Amino acid sequence: MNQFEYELAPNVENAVASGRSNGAVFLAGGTNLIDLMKGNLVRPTRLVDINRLPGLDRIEFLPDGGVRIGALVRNSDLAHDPKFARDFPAVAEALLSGASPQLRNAATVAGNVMQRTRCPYFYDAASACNKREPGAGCEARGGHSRLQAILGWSAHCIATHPSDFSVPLVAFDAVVEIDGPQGRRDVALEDFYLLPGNTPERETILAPGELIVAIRLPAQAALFAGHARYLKIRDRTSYAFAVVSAAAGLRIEGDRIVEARLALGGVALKPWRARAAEACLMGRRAGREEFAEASMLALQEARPSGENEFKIELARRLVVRAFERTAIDNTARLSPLPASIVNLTEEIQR
Amino acid sequence: MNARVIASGVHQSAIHDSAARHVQGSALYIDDMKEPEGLLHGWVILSDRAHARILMLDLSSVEAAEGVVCVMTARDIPGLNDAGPIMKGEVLLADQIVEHEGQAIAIIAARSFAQARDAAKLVRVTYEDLPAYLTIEAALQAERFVVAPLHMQRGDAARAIAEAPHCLSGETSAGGQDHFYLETQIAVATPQENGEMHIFSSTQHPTEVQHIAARLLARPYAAITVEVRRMGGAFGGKESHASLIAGMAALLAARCGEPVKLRLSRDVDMLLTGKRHDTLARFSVGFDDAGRILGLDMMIALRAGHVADLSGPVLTRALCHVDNVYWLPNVKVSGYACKTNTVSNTAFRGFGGPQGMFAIEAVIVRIAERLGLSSEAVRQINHYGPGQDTTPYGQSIGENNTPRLLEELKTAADIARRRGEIAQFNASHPYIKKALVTYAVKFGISFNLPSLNQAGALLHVYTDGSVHLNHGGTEMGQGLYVKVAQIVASCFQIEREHVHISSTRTDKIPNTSATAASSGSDINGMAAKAAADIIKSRMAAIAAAKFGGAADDVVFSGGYVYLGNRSISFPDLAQLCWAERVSLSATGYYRTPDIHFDQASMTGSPFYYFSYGACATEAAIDILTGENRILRVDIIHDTGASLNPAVDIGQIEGGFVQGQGWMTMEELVWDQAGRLRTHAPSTYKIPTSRDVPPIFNTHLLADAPNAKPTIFRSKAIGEPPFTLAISCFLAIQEAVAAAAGWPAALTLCAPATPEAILRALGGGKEGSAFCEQKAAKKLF
Ligand SMILES: Cc1cc2nc3c(=O)[nH]c(=O)nc-3n(C[C@H](O)[C@H](O)[C@H](O)COP(=O)(O)OP(=O)(O)OC[C@H]3O[C@@H](n4cnc5c(N)ncnc54)[C@H](O)[C@@H]3O)c2cc1C
Ligand code: SF4
Repeated sequence: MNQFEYELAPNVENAVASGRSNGAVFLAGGTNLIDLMKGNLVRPTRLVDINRLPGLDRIEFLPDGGVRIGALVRNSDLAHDPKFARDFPAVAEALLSGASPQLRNAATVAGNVMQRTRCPYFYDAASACNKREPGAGCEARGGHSRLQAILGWSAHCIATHPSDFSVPLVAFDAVVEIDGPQGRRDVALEDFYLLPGNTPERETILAPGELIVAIRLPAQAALFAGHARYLKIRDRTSYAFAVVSAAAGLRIEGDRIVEARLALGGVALKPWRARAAEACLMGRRAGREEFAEASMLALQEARPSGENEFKIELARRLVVRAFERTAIDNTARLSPLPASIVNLTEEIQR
Repeated sequence: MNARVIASGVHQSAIHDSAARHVQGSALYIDDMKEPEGLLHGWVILSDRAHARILMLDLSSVEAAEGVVCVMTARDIPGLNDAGPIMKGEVLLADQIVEHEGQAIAIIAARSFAQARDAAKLVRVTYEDLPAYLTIEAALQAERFVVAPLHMQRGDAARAIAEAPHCLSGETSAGGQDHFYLETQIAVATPQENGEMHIFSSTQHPTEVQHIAARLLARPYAAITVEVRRMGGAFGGKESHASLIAGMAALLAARCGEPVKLRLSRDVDMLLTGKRHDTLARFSVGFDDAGRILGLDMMIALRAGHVADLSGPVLTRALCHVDNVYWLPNVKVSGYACKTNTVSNTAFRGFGGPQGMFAIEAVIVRIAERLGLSSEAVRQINHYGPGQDTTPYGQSIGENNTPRLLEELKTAADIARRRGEIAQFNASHPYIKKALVTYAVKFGISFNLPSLNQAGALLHVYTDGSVHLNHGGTEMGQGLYVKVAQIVASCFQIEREHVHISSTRTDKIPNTSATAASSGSDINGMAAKAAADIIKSRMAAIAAAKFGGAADDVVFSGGYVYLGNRSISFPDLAQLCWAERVSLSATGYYRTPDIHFDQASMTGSPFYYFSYGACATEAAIDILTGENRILRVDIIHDTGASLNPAVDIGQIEGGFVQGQGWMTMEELVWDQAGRLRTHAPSTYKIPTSRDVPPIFNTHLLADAPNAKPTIFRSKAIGEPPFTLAISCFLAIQEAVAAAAGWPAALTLCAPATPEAILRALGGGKEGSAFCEQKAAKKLF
């Protein structure tokens, strides 16, 4: 490992000031960052430990029905908070579908949103990767690319964003609260992530020194509490990143859908909000044909970036499945939540 | 006489001798050991081409890098650059030509691990690419083999097929598998005085590490001592390939005159060392209206990789297991070990047996499909039975436990009721399909090569009655040490806590075989018993003299030694022996009787006996996502009179789940340039605890002592249960059939990953919804 300085930041102001310096990174749970450092894939010169920042480890339920999640809230604490799981079930499901219990106990919500891609070439120091070294080339192209992007990729990078948590957050309009050298700002999570374009090394809109202090879900998100799911397809039952995943929400009045939400994971370098699919469901019945139509719209622009054409059809099927499962009133299921979601056992017990 | 018996001998469920220390972290693996002063860290520079000539190898920057103490290439090897376990000329370090990506071209030692690793990146190599043969198919076409093709034959298969009422041809394939032992390959070599070398090696085969290190260093065997206390898993991956790592460490240590540790990272481990052979099988079969196989002509091709290593014996065992539990009256099986420009494949639990057993099941399901019968019925009608009980290589199968196992399984797994439920479920569920299969296995026990079936043990009884136990078998977590300790405890009739287990060392037991072929407790247990019997007879003579009687009448029981109504405690007798100047130390030796095999004609009785098992496996697939789950597994396994039921059940469960990984999710992917793209857990998926079947019942066949006089009438356990997991594939295949019909299901190959399942559901057709089918291949 390379030499680096370590600093325990006492407050946000100091953290931001230290975070500005060249080569500085914030250390939260460390479950992603330390791995990357051990592999010599990132070489920070200064670690600014934010674990002791006061007040950032709280879940605040806002008077209007929304929720403000402090950046340092641990993934398991959030998923297991009874009120949070009841109001935002798809988000809790997404959290519990990720990593392992030990990792979730250590991982913070901001760290989760900020985690780096799991592209195997990014992780292999011997491979060329534009994200690690701009201009070096991208070995994933023409390589083993079954898990790579089908939406929003560029010739420079075809990686996907690995976070499960971020997928329902994008579906339900989460906002990132940022503190930085220029002061505070709020940015919709959907706009927080950058697509690769010509600069795959730039992943978010964060400027040097900018720190996520909280993530907010608006009150509207809780209106989907009765009909919201996160479904994840992966290569084995647990401990695997999504091949594709979907966060879906429906508001149903009578036999009509009055509002739909859909975001896809594992398909692009950010969670992919499918607004055309959402729009087409407005005022329609919650039926398979309608969902199939929405699924076609959701993947309209998809194209394979390698040997991953199958993901397009798989994602369509998942969208239909997610909406079908979402349409079933799921309040009865909420406590305790199953950890693994596209769970055949659950399907079989239906 | 006192009726006391010991409580911790054989047939008891004793916990693993290191279980508590495993949990506490105080069971030391090589990397946990205190590092000797001046220890250097080794690292390997790998080729990044599949097949190329090295035009220029520039190591100057590596040599100049901080902390680097020495860099060695093929030319710096003092002895022979040869790490071949059987064949000659399998180089340790590539010399001018590289034959696979990930082949070692140079080794370095540096002051720290990071320095060694970083320095390796500074190498500059210029290659001239040579044509690379990457697939079984390519090697078959070019007739590139690492050993001469093998042919096993009985009767006239061609004629039987031609005259049979029905015949068909088919093809199947199964992928390879990485061992994925938790402890990656490691060795620490420490130079001793007078040119001698001590090596801690994580190896299943200390003697072979000794031999290869001696060959590389141009030293006599006696100058090299290899020691292993335990491995963090091995599964065959540390049978021949551990000597590569130990050999490199020894070379560096000899050159530098300092101890050297070489521990591979997971990526390098997966690139540099071999895996289970992937398999392609093609066949023609003739059968009658009931599905009885009358003639079978089969070709089995294994991907051997760049050198032979153990591929010859692996292929032999594959051929010897094509029959599994089925009677094949007229049969011809040809085996090809294909030379490819990929890493040399090696031993892996089952050693080719699973590949052969997998192949015959493709024959069974195709017959069932053709005749419109259930695969169950076709399996059943082809089982070995009275008068139809010799294998294609001419060995009588002896006691046949298959019928009993399958009968007991019917009730244990509640099969009739569940089949009804599954049919109902499949009729009603729109996109989940289930299937339940029953499956029986037979596995031959003994090394195919008779000379390997020998073992030694060394026992000392001390004057306080405690016993020091050593034998040639190695501990890889499988519980061999505790089983042999139980055997010694039973022999002396002292509690096992008095038997002290010690690490396996070539200077205590020489000329050993690998701990492999499931033979560990069979042969080492017998050797330990032989040593105990020698010491016991000496002790009995002293007891007889003391009490006045015949040594033959002396009885060891419950910590005491009896003659008539007189007795003496075991420690007191040990003390007395010393006083009477009688040796309390002995070596024991065992060789398996009654086995022979003629490699030229591929006939003989290579196996001392067979192990049997049966299982009922229920799988479900999601026809829209391709996901699969193994929902319930019931196993009844034949362990003879089990030496340690708890350890045996652990082996059965672990072996099954490992096989489940092979059949359902573990997939090795090479790109077109021959580079392995799945060399880390990020891309290579092994089963996790959540993939273990939620209902998993394992029973040992009761009251079934081995008909052969094995150690306390037990049976070997390491490999046979692995093969039961072929049932996972069969159940998934039946579920695909339930959804899309048998013709579609027959296109499924292993591993049955979600993508493979979707492809099969689409009939495996070109342009089917998900994946392109591999180019359609012509048969034969
Ligand atoms: C084996 C394994 C399996 C996994 N499986 C999954 C999975 O299935 N699904 C899934 O979603 N995730 C998975 N993960 C990833 C896991 O969720 C992340 O590692 C974790 O959420 C990161 O959180 P952390 O607090 O440890 O972040 P750290 O590792 O501390 O930091 C990660 C990054 O975020 C930055 N950062 C942290 N906090 C802030 C902040 N407040 N403001 C600005 N930047 C910040 C850091 O500088 C760093 O770049 C897995 C991880 C592992 C190791
Ligand atoms: S896909 Fe992106 S992350 Fe992966 S190698 Fe290419 S540039 Fe790097």
